[in-house]
Amino acid sequence: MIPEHFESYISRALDRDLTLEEFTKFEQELIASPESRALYLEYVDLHTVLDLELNIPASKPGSSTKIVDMNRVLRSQRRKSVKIAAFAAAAICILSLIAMQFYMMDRSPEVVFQSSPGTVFTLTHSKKKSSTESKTMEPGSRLELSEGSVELTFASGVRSIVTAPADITLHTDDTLFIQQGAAWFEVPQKAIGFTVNTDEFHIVDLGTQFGVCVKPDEHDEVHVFKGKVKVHAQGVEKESAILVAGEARTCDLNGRLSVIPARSSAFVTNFLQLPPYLYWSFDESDGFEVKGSHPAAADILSTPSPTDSPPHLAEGKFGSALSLDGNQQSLVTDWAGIYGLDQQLSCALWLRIPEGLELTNYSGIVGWGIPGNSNAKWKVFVRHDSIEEAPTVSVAIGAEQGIHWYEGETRLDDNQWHHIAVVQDGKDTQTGVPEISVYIDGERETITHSSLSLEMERFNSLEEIIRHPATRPLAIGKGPVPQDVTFQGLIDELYIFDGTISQAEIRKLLTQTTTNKR
Amino acid sequence: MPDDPRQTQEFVSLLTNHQEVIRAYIISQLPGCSEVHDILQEVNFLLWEKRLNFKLGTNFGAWACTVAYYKILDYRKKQKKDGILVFDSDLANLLSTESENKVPEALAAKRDALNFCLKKLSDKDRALLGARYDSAYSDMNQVSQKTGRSLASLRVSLSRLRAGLKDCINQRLGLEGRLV
Repeated sequence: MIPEHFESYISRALDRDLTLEEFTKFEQELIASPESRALYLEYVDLHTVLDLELNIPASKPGSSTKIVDMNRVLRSQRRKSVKIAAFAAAAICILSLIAMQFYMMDRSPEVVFQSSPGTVFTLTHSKKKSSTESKTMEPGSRLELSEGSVELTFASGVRSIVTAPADITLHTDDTLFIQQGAAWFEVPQKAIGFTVNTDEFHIVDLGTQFGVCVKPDEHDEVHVFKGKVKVHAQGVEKESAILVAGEARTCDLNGRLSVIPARSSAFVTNFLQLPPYLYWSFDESDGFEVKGSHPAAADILSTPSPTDSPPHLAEGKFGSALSLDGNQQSLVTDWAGIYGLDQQLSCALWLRIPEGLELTNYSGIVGWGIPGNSNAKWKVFVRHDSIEEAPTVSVAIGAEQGIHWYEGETRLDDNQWHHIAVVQDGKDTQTGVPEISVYIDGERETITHSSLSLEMERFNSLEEIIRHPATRPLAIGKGPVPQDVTFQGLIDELYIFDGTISQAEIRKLLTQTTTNKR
Repeated sequence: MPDDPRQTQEFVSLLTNHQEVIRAYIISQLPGCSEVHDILQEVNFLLWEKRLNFKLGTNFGAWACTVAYYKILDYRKKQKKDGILVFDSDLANLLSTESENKVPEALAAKRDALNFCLKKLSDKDRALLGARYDSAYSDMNQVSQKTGRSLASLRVSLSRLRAGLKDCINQRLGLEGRLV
């Protein structure tokens, strides 16, 4: 084959434009001649760099653009330690941006965002000169969230919190397209005119706070909380309206607007930045399954017990809750727990205890470890010493020298929902007592500390603890001591954090969850 | 390779630096394939999964291309099933052997040179290349429609432009004495 023809064939092969006959000839030439193969590979290099320089990836929803699947990556990493998994997730974030890594930034990004821990996202850019930063968006950038939430900050000062599942694309500096998701916006005066588009709405802000909700199989919704917003339906009728605070609209496929009640509860307005956590929502959709940003979340099994009379789900504080009858019902997991008084950990949950509770002694709410006099034991429980005394929340932890008890004073058996949070900050107080804080309904609880010096069985490593035959993994509704009575009442929105949470964060948990179910 | 953060970081750095090499390798095996980006991402994932098998200090590019080869085999089978023309395995092997020792620096140098050469093209020629490499128009019939040119004219123009750019890049790299 003469060189000119062969080069033409290479060009056409790269365009998938050869007939069968031509392709066969092309193949034969490549097999026969090392020089032809070298020339072909030279053209391949050219094609590669041309593609990198000139290709503008399609950013239309549903396009074939595909990024490393963060879910797969995170799942594969959850068996590793927190540190490794966190790094690996960050590393894969880098990989998902690899296509952009050789480009330099021309200017400051239009949007920067931060994600809450456990957020799983993919970010793609449609412009060839996109940012190498992992958390910036420029016109054409598309952000897909499968878990968690992000806070977007626009150069114009607009702030938005978007919760998963979501799929958003920045169309221009001040126009965002929402394919899916619940997004709350706060628009300052200087950014009036900020625009949000969905398949069904064109929304122009007139200086305000508003939310947009786009769900598959449901009509899009606009809710205004402050100021004014102009909405235009995209359908044939193209109805439009100016909405003021407290108003909301949905629209049908024909472009007609319908009044709906404004619901601020559909949106997250406070951004939660929490340490890695395990989370049981106890919602119908999740059942007893654990979720969350902790690397162990994907592998933990939660098994209702006993099998012949297991706990069930009942109406909860948000969605449904775990209902326990106090008669040996509990949820038993295969997660070892967090050990060591120098470790930071927190636990938060809603609970509801019926009035006139029978004597329950020390019924466990959550707990794990080796029962008896061991330094490997941690539990939150309801202390109810006698029928005359009020049931209160208490914490017991095993230490080298004995057991530490922390007892609250708020009466809990009023058949009302109470939010309980326990924070262990991994340090000792000035008196050498492990620091434990308890919060009830967001307020710091006055607690009484007592300790019991005992000859303790000491365990120095997690491996040693896990191997011990008496070790009880995390249980919900009971503690690690088998003979302890089980909890009677409802438990909802249970979080166990691998770290401490602040009072401000605890208060945010009173009004929202990481999954935004309000 | 032990799975400690420092070495993981080094692995990520190698993987990042070799993206163009792996991409070129995929293209060489599957010329004209419109799913290169998808395959690259899958290969990245596979490499990440197999990272513990990689020995730091050895040839990352060769290792990555070997891993990619098996992923590409799957695609080749799929394409064949779909009636798409694919290289036979002997040729694929030959090309694989001859392209697995590419280094990232060579492609980076070519890319720099390309930027220089693209500036020398007329607006019309740049627009034509832009249309061809715009992923929204990956099919030649679409490019033909978009540019209003016949397929025959497109073929000739693209072949001429590529040949010219190849020569320009070689000349530029020769002038700079850089690695080709």
